[in-house]
Amino acid sequence: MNKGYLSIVLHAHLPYVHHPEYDSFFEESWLFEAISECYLPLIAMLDRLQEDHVDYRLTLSLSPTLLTMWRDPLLQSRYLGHLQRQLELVEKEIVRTRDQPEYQQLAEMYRQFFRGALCSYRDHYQCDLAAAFEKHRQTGKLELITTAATHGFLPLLNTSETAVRNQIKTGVDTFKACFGFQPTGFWLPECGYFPGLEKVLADAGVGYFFVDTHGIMDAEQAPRNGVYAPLACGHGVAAFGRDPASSRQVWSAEEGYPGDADYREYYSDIGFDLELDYIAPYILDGSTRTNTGIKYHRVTGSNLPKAIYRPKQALAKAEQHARDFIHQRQLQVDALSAEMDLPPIIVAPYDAELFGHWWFEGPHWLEAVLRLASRSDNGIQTVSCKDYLDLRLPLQMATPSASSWGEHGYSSYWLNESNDWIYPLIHKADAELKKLVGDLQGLTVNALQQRALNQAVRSLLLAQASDWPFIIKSGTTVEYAKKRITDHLARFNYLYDAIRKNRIDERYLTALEVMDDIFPDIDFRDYCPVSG
Amino acid sequence: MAFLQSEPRNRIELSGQEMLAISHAINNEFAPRFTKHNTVCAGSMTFSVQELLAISQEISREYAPRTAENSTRLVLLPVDPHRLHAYWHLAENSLNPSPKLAEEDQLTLRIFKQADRPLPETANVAEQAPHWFDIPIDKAQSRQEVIVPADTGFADAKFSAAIGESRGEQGFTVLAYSNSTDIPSPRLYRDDAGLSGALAQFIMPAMSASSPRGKAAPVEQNKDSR
Repeated sequence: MNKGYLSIVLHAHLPYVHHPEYDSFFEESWLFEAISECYLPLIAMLDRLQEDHVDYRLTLSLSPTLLTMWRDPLLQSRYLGHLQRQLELVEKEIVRTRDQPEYQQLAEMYRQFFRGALCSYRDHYQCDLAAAFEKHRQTGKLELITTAATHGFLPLLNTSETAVRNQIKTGVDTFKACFGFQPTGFWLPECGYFPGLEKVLADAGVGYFFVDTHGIMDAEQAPRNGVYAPLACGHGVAAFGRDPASSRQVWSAEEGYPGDADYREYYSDIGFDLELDYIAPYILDGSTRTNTGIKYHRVTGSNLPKAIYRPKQALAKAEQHARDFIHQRQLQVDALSAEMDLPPIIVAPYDAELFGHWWFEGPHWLEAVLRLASRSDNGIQTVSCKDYLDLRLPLQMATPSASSWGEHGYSSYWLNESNDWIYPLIHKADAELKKLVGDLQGLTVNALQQRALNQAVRSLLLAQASDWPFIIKSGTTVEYAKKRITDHLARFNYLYDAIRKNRIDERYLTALEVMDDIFPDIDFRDYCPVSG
Repeated sequence: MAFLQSEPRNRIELSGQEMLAISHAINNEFAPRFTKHNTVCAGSMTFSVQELLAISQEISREYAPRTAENSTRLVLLPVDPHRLHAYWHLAENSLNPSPKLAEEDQLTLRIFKQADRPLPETANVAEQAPHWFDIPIDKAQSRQEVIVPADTGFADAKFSAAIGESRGEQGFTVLAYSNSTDIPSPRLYRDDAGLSGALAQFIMPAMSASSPRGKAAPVEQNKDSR
């Protein structure tokens, strides 16, 4: 008999990176790497679970920017080109490593991996990853949910309810346009929550969302079941809290499974390890070292020379870690169910890109976890949060505390001395757009003006993405992140000026529509305060 | 000679590597592409990649975002339970132009624990506000991190701010009021939550300040130590 529930939630998101104004663009490889290493392996995992009739439930949040990029013909075409280059490189590697059998075996493994990706993506799924996931949703095993339009960090957009509302509504609308139904669940970008947000979510038809542990634990009223039962926030919306114990087992830099010595080392990539002359055709501009996806070493351990990767050993370790994960959850459920007045639900949310991309063996681990959890003798049942709410249990009423899952738990990663310059600019654009849309209330606009207004909303949404302040703070591709914010705001300024002066150049407008080809159904008239 | 009448010929022998090379060459040259000859079609319009780039660059250059605006504005944002962030823009004509007063005036950011009633629109509101504190501001500044005093009843509150010119005993001339904002509760996993043993066992140990937060990928964090 099941004593409790486990809800594993994967949040899949990448910022909108789409540059038809270049023949190729390095940052588009973020998507390509994630397709090969994360999304396709996850789909393959779901296919195997279906073939084997495994009874599981998994939740997947798909961001509107990611859905848009998956369906973009230019990016689909470029991804196929990316795979062809990888296949070409791996053939060279098989020749180069002919006197190093262990390395050559790995090169052959990568050839099989890339060929498999090409075959799955192009031939089996016809380049449509959303449809591949939707197929599994229709079996009733996979729950699909959404997030804000461009993953805007809502607590820092909250100087304008219109901005928050627009992020949420556009996110939900994009999901509905893609899948044809209203999502019940909503992933708050970076788990960024502030009291009152539940009302906006309710207005968008959302039934539940997630907060970090302290969002529940520091709720207005003490949560009597901790994070192991949702809080009813009013307006028919429930908040689920992240379980710190299961998070720690996967996320922790010190203790987390992905840091195990047997797993593949993400940072050991031939793009950085081999002679520049040899690797030049496969890296950025032939001179800047970048990841190629071919990695020959395992984590090994700190301060030790990197040892060669042994796939069988790594997969066996993933299965061992899966058994440990389930065992820990069983202990947890046994202890919690004895003391709680509701059946406990353990909510374990992770970034989807951790699985396969950062943690190469992650999909294998997840598959083993879902298979183990499906056994009827372990006292745990995997569910989605919607399944739990459908039990109609009496939930405690309380409002969560403002929180995020970022470093230090609040807004400081997205607002600090490195990135605080962003906010005056995006708040100003928001105010200007609201004023403009307000001025047009009751007036008729022509088709060209309507296109320009809609494109202005797209530009502002793209500038609001949480990814850019995050990247600026983390210090990775800082110049690109800065440029994306300033470029989108410049495009907004251009459109705003053109609309105000009624001098819209259709050619320029069309060029912007080509470059920022997202949210086709957006309606600028939604960008106004809700009356009353 | 008709095609069907042609002499059958022996098939050319190709090695696996040669077939692969040919396959790659064909894929590279003839794979379906969204852009044809470096052009992008949108409705009836066609753009070259270079033209798109030129338009993008021109707009980025000519319409670069600027904070400057005609109006005066002050915005307050929540950072964490102990910090707020304020930024402002003061229109050029908003500062006191009198040279006599200018030397004595101190631009000041006044943070209010928000009053139950709206702040009046007039100057000299300080006495009427239940709780406030001042931060002297340099006129060249446009933003300020605000540390919320922990021991003066400011915790767990709604805040608003005003920016203005302070003239010592003579009062405070407000140039702009901010929005109001809440900061999160400073309680960190309060001990009085009344959690039972099992709940506390799984929640409290992971709640230390060093607990991982989701966004920091473990592999990323480990980069240097590996």
